[in-house]
Amino acid sequence: MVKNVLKAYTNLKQHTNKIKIIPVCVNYERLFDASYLADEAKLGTFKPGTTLVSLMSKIMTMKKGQMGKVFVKYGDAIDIHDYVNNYIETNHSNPDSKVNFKKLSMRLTEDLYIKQIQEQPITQNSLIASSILFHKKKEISFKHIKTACSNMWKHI
Amino acid sequence: MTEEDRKTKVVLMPMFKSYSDLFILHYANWISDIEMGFSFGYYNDSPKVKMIERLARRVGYFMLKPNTSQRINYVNQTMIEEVIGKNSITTCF
Repeated sequence: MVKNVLKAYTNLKQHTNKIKIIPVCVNYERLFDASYLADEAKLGTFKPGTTLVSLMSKIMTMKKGQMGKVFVKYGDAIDIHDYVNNYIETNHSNPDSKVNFKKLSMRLTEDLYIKQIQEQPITQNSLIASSILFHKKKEISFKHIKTACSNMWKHI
Repeated sequence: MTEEDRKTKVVLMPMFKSYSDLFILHYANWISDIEMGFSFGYYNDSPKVKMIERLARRVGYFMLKPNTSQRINYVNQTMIEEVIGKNSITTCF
C-alpha cells in the first residue's frame, strides 16, 4: 500500500499541493477477534461459516468491561515531498534519475512502523505478555509474572 | 487555514491489527468532526462475513485484490490516485 501511495504522489505532484502521511496506531487491550485471526493464520483463510450473528453474540456475552479499552494515536505527519527529497539527498542519487521505488517504499514502511510502535501505549496486558515471552523456563508462576510486571513498571 | 493547507491531501496509514480497525477509525474521525473519506485495504485482510463486507462498502472501503504477479495493478493504482487527488482525507491500511 505504501508503494501505491508513493506512486500516486509521483503522478499527482503536478496537480496537488502536498500529500502528507499520518501514521495511526490503533491499540486494543483485548482483541475480540483474536481467535478468528488465529484460525485464519492456521487455515490460511477466514474461518468459513462465520456470520455476523455469531460474531455479535460473542461480543454481547462478554461481561461489562471485559472488552478492555481501545487507544487511537495519530503520529506526526510525514510530508512525502520532503521525505522523497531527503531520501534522494542521503542516498546521493541524481534527482533527475528514476527513484528506486522498491527501496524507497521499504524505507518508508520501516519508518512508519517505527513511528507506530513508538506511539503504542503500555498496557497491563502488554506487560504480562512481555513477562511471559521473556521467561526462559517452560513454566511460570503468577508470583513471577507479578514481580516481573512491577519491576518493568518501576523501570518505565 | 491557508489555501495551501486546504489543498493538502492527508493519507492516514494505520497498522492493521483487527477487523474492527476500520470502524474504530471512522468512529474516531466522526467524534472529532473530521471528514471520513474513503479507505483502501487488501481483500485478504477483510473478514469474509457478508454483512460486515456490505457495511464496509457502504462506509467507502475499497477491498483491493493484490496482483499475483509482481506487476502493478493499474486499476487499483488509478483508483488510489483519483481518490487521494480528489479527497482531503484517505485511509490506507
